[in-house]
Amino acid sequence: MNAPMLQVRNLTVGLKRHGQVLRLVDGISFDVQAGETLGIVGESGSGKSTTALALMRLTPRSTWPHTSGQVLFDGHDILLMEEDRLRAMRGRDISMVLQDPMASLNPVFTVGKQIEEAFAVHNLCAKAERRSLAIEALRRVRIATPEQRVDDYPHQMSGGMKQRVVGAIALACQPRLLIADEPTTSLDVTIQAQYLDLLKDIQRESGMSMVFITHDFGVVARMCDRVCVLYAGQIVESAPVRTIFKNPAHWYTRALLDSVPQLHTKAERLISIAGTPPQADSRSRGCRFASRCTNAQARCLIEPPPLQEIAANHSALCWYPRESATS
Amino acid sequence: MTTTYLATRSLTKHFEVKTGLQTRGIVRAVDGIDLALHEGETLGLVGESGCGKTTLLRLLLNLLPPSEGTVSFKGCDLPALSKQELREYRRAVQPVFQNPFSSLDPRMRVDRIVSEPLRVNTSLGSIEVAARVAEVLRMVGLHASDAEKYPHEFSGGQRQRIAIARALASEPRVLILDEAVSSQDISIRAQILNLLKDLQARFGLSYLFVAHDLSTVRFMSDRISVMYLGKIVETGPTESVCRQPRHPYTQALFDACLPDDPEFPTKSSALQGEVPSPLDPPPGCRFHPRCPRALATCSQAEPLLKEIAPGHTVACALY
Amino acid sequence: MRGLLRNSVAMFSFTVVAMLIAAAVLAPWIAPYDPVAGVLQDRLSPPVWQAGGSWAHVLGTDVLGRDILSRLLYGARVSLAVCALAILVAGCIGSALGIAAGYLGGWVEAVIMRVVDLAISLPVILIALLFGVLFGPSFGNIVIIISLLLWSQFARMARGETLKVRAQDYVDLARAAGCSSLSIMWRHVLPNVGSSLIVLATLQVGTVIIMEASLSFLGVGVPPPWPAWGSMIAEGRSYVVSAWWLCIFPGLAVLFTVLAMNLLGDELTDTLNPSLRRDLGG
Repeated sequence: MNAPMLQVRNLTVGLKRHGQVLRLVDGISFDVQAGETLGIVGESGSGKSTTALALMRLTPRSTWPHTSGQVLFDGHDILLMEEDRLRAMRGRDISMVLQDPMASLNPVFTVGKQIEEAFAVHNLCAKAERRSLAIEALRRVRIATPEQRVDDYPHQMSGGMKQRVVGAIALACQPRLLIADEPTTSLDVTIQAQYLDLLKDIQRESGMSMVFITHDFGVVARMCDRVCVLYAGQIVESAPVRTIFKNPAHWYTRALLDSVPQLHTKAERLISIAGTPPQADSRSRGCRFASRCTNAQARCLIEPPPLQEIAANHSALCWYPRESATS
Repeated sequence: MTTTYLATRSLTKHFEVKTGLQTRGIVRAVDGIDLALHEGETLGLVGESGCGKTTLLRLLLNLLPPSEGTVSFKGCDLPALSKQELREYRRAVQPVFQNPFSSLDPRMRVDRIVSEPLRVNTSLGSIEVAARVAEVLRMVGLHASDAEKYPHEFSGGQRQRIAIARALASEPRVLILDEAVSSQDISIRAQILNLLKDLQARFGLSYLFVAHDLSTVRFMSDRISVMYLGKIVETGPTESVCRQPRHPYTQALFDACLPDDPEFPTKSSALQGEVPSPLDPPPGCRFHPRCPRALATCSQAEPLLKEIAPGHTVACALY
Repeated sequence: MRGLLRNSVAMFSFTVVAMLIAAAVLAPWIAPYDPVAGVLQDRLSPPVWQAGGSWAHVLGTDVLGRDILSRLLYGARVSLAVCALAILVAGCIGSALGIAAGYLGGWVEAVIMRVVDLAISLPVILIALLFGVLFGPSFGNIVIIISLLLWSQFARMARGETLKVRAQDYVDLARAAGCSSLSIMWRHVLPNVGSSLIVLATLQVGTVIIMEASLSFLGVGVPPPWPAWGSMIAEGRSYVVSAWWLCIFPGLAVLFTVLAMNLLGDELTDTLNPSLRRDLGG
């Protein structure tokens, strides 16, 4: 079995506020194999966006003194890499797509120019060829009449189209890993469906891997092979996608799945999780979910839970994980 | 006989798009909408960006005057309401908007925010107002002592609860919820949806629930209306619309929904293209350029709403 | 390190401003001499550290034998009073018009903003001179002139900030609740644009002091014999080389005041705009 393309080991990213170091991401570890899509699911405050930024070392300077762990891409640690080498990798081997296409595109440059910039920075072709490559990139993300669209400005495009352009820029240099941080949250549901189909097709053609950060389980079910559930800066469960839905071992995962209204079944009430996720400066000593957990025991409140191997490739951070039952 | 609180008749709103002093075109944001909201029911309104639902809500709240057609409250057209009746209307119909960060004035204390509709539309004394504020804060799961705080001291979910408390302060009959839970985390969303259902059961409230997430709309609504480019294309009881969506656009919306089941067969999205510009809507049926089942007649005549099952109407040439 | 630097700047500006206000308020008690009455025998005596100077007049005397230090202190009163009044008048009128323009839109906005454009394009000094010539120099007139030239700044800023506030949901909610436009402008818009206007006011102090000094210099400001920094500089200009202290000290007073107020304004801007920091939440 080949070594995973991306290996994250004990990643911690902290921020100093009022003299205290708050751990936004607290010792998380996961792997991404070539060609697979890993989903990272979490709510606000879970640390998912910080994780996405950390993978490309794009976190703010104030967090650098409090960042530790390893992010190994092809065996080389991104957190320790020289600036030049890292910059050569960004956009070329690893690329990123963010949630808000309006903030991702520069309003004063045409769409074509912004795609060409990706080629220019990585010196992938002669200057004369850049425009035709940009048109090809637009065609690849299924934008109609790319020869005309290439000279449009972002404000002349709809939200869905802008997000495709952002995708075109990210995919311009055929990266091996695409990190997508809630790319479809601001899109309409029909546009989201088109966009996800597009990503899936591109993945099938190029064999690239994806790290897909989202809070939407429907997207997870459609796009991901494996899933990590993040809560208060920690990975509380990691499993193949089928297992997460059919047999989640962690109580938070189960509760989260229960609190989502289903399209194809009618419910009178949703099972909601009491309370709110803890702030980074007020986490408990024991299990961070214990105060909201329906199955918490005395031990959970005091001792931090171990990472338990439930099955092959399935682990949960829990003292008393859910027994596999009819879900 | 159940009261029909809000109703619209051929409601239309045009906006002129001007460059300088020249009129470039007309945006038909809302075009001939007939709606009715009855006592105690939840009407779900589904539509994507550009369908006109924001404009429709502004018309219902009397924030915009209609270009044609009417909005009526308890059978009486809004412009014909007397001052007293207008106050009653404002007490009875309350909005809750999507963004809890821009819904609360950051410079105002929570008690003043929550009591604003009450103070403007009634002549209650300050003691009664304070008592009512404490009461509604408790109703939404907050503490009476939160009345003295400022919005920035609360989380997003709590702010949305404050917004709901404000909507409840004047003892309304109708709540207009514009994507009220869309910007919340999943676990907070569930709490707020449950809260809304509880309040409805307790006070017999009617809801106009606007959302783009079909699962949430299905959970909350008794009836569903689907909007596309300023028109209602389908309306019916929730079960009827969800089990058998008739209009091709409604079907596309359901197809595009991603189920929480990795093994559920997903059809590749059949709906291509994007919503056309409302400045220049397609002739005939507005959906026909994207419709997988379009007929020749679809580009010529606009279909009218027809009843094809009890309480279930569709505007489509196929029926 | 940056935090420390910022703080020391804030401390400096606060201190200077506080000292100025104290000096102005306490002038009658701390000034060693009457600023108006001069002793001719002591005219043009240099500051204490130069040959011929004495501790009796620490900063020297002017042409008519009036003590410079005392005139500086009383001059502070005039300058700061003119500042405060002019900014208050201009601020209130300009903000009210700007908020109305921003909130009501339509022809109200069009008319007000065209008037603002006109006001901004007027030649400042010329108008001031005209005014001074027509109505004669007096304290009241100088406040009026400066207000007339200042209100458009407030109007512009108020309108810009009001447009941002108007786009917020709570304004729509207030309208839906039945609040009148006036009530919304007073209760919702004003408190939310207030902080930007206060920052603008602090930044205008520098402009106003220089305007007042310039007008006094040109002879249409505060009439003699009352001391004003500008007129002190004007009076001293024939003696720049021989009795440099007549111009330099009032000049330094203007410099430090303007500097301190601008720094204060900058500090306030940073304090009142923390929303520009990127949130690291999720």
